[in-house]
Amino acid sequence: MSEALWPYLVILLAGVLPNEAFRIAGVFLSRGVSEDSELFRWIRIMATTLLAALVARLLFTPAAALAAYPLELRLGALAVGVAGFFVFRRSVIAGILVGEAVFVALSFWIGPA
Amino acid sequence: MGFSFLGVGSLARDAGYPLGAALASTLFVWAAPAQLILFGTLASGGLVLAAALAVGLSAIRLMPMVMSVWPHLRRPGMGIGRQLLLAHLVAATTWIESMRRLPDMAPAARVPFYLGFASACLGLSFVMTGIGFVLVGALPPALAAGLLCLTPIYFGVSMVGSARTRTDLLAILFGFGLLPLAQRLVGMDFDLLVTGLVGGTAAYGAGRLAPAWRR
Repeated sequence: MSEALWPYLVILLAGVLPNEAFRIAGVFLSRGVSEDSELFRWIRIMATTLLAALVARLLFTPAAALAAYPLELRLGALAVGVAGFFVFRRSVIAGILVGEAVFVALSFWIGPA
Repeated sequence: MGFSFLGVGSLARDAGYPLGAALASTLFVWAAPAQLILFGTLASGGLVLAAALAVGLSAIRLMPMVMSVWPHLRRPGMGIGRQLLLAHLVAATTWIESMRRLPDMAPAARVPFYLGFASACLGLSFVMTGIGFVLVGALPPALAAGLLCLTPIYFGVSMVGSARTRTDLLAILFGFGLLPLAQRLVGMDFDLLVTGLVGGTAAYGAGRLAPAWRR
């Protein structure tokens, strides 16, 4: 198989298939199973945990262009963002902008490693 | 929502994937966390199987989401092909908006609203994926890093913002706190999967054992 098609095959097998499988299962199970059940509570909480783990992964072991800046700065930017969310009366967008602004400003000041 | 797809595009570029693959993932996977797990795992040289399992764990939540919106969306006599198309468009943003709006709408107006809203989201996300991909290669280092840092900041802040119960907060803390430990114990391939299963089950268990934590 051509090298150029490999990325698309990976996306199909590891990306499209798992997601479509659960969407389709949802269509067929939509009669009969209660979506408020304890099983789905457990699933939702695992999905939340996984997403938080993904956030940690993107900060602790980041992509190359981000890894050029210190871990303290990456973690600090998230902390500032969360703090900004509470300071600006629970505004998600304000929190994101504050955290991002602090990161970019300090990155320019420090410079890449 | 646009923020998360900027992140998808920039991460795909960083992982060495072509623009077409980044755009195709937005159209056909249509779940930003899954796409980020996929490109993140592959960027660190991870196994495709490991990526697929972690993506699968992130995708299970789509099943109850489809199930809860279906009574509002499905019309009598709707064919299976049409249902699968509508189901493909279910993702966090479209689900939240549908659950909020559809119940009060006339049944005949629901599918057109849903298709219109979901296509607009998909179109915007498609463009943002492309912009993220192009920008991360064109920006000065500090801004390119800022683009890649936007994704964790976006998800981190929105998760704290949308946490409704103490169990949700516990899940966030466990997920964030256990990930570095999991990376040391099981390596970069299965870290997300193990953290999601173990940390999520622990947070769920805490909620069951101490009912106060469910609120």
